[in-house]
Amino acid sequence: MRKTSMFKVLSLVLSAAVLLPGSVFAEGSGVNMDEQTVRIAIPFDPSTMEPWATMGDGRIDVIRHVYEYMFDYEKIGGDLLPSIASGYEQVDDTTYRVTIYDNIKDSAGNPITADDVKFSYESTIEIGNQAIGVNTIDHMDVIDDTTIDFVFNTTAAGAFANAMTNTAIVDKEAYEADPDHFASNPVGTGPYVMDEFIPGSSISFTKRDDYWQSEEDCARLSEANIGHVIYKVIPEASQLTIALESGDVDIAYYIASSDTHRFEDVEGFHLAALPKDLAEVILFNCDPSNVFASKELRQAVCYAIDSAAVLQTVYDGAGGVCKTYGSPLFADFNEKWNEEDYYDYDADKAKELLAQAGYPDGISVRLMTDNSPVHTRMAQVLQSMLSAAGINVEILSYDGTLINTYRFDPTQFDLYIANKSSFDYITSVWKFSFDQVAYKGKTLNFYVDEDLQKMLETALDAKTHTEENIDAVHYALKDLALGYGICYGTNYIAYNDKVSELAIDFKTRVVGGACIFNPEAFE
Amino acid sequence: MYRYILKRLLLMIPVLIGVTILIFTIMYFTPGDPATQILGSNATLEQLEAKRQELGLNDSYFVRLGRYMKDVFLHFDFGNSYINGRSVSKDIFSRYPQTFIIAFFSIAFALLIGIPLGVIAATNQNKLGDHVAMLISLIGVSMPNFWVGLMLVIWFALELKWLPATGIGAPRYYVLPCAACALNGIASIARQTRSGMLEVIRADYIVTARSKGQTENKVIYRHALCNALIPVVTSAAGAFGSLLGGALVIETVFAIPGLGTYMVSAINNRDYPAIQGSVFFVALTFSIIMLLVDLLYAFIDPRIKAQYQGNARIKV
Repeated sequence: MRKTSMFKVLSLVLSAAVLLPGSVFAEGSGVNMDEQTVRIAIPFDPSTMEPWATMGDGRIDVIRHVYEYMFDYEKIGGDLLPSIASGYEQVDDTTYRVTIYDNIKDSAGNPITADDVKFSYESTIEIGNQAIGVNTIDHMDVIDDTTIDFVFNTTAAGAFANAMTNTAIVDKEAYEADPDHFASNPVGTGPYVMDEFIPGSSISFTKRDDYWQSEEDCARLSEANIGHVIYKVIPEASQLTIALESGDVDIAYYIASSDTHRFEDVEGFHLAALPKDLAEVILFNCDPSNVFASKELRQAVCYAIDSAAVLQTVYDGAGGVCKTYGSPLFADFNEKWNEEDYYDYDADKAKELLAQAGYPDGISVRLMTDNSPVHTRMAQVLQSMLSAAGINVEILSYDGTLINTYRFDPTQFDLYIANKSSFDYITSVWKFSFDQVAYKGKTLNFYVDEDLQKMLETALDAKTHTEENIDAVHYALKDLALGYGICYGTNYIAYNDKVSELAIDFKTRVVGGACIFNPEAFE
Repeated sequence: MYRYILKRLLLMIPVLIGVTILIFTIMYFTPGDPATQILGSNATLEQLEAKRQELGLNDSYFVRLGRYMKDVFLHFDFGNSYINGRSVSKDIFSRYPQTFIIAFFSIAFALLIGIPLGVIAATNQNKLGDHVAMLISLIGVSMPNFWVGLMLVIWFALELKWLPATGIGAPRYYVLPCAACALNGIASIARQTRSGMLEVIRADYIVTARSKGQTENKVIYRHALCNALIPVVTSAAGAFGSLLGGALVIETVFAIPGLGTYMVSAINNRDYPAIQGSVFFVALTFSIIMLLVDLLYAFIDPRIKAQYQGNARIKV
């Protein structure tokens, strides 16, 4: 009798919770769930809609709906496609004259002029969160309402393109009038307006009726092919998959490779595999006091790593093996490197080099890694591989911030796992690790080599960014083995029948509203 | 009684000042540079130095502590997040309702099931009812709540399609997270109720109640259970306070933007204002809950109420 009463009470509580009207608790997404809505699951929180905040993964996923840039890359390091800007001409080595459209208006109806462009860049530089893309700008001169000169402090290849594709353009008065600086209520020139942003949960957009650009001149990624776009933040990998299977979302990013079989060749679902531009690499501590000051020892480690096996273990074989210090997706990657030896796995050679380095009986080293699942697995695989070659590895696992701090301290590690990419060229990937100007006269991993620096600077310069010079740096880095590119993975995006074609930007992110949809699936 | 409450409220001030200094000091000495997290792994040393300067991270410990204490206690301003630039107070208040709903309904659910289970076990000691109730509680304690959460999702969201798997909004979004979160609570409350009941059930006043001819239900629920509830209330309040600090695993599994995920993300990013603000808020909440629990004791046990009143009289 007592049990029956208890179950009745429980049933009542559960039923009340299920049936209570939504008005009691505010509905999370806040938009009408009509048929012309695409729902997209992403694992990372956009965090803020401020135009020039740090570009985390979640922000990159959604920001393109509200804000636009001067140009879009066709692909990494590829041609520039007009967006806010209608074209440009190079005036001299460091000066570019850019023309913007004369009819640009943001979602609040404010016209965008060259003064707003200048303000947007100056703010980005001053705030400093996206310094990598804009710190090459020396100054800007506004010529008239639609023309602006960008003067750079360098002739580096990609400097102009990087600057043009990384700063959101907003209206100066509107931005300054908002005490929140658009963090919660963004006003941009993009084809959508933000309806609601619940940090950590969801963000929704509605198509603008008054979008400024004409259909024929509209940039591919600025197309608005559906009325509403809702991004749902689902950090847990299996829940991401379940959300798509249960129809809660229509597109899901970053599907785990172990879950791809649930969508591959399954009726009603499609799977896109996009190779990552982010390469998994190791960097050696080349400080003179460290054991890895020895080139032979560095080379021994490179030979002891079976990159294909690492790829198989860490990414289930989805992706590729690196043939330089970086992934092969960049425009200046030389295809011939794919045919060449790049420390292809050779245990005997590793042992031989270990002996040459003065460690015939083996050595113990400290491998630093962040505690992400991918890098943790990779560290364990490397530990096992290096152990077979006689190198005993102690794994030091830290959170991401600690890694970013300790990597500047040569006493903290002997080698570490990192991932490296750039916005444009493979030479930029090398620059971010081995430019001795950026790290006070040493590479990121404490190596000093004037010849290497000269070679790198030559390859980075737009006028001498030639195959020959890029080759020279590649072969020098390969010989010195300051770092070693292991492999790169694949991003899986699964979607249902409502989507017929994904719109993907150069950062390999889906721009939800610009996808092409299948109207029949909405009926 | 009022004097007691006022005294406890005043005592919260040094507690909160102590917590603020402690968490600030811990974060000051915790390795990890927020500037590297803001600018990313490709930033140059010069850019990192400029960012540290801008954030005031190069100032001395006492300058930074003084600035922070002034902002918190004079302006009630926890500052803005290093990562998203938003006000930390706003962020906390936007996430707190979700955390509160989960904590409240999980504890309510745990009490609603755990107490009857414990009573059944105690009144049927070493009999079938006891074994079944304890088996249920053993299962509850043994299953990790993230696993239970995922199982509930697969069954109720994916197979039956009765309830949503993730997100927030209408009440139905909270049913699965609360159920998953309550399971461990049910088990521990059932075990504590059983143990408390077994202690009081043999007490003289229970024998007296029975000898007066009172019904078994009255003896159990009016006389025995009330006296066995003090440790259960203490334990449930502790669990409630902890859940208000964020049920991290449940929030992650069910994609709920609560305080737990906010704090962990802040810690990972060395977002000092967000960490310090969240810990302050959790300490404040916990202090208030403990005060409420002490007051609840008085309602459950008249002897404690008499003590409070007695103390007040002595002070006067």
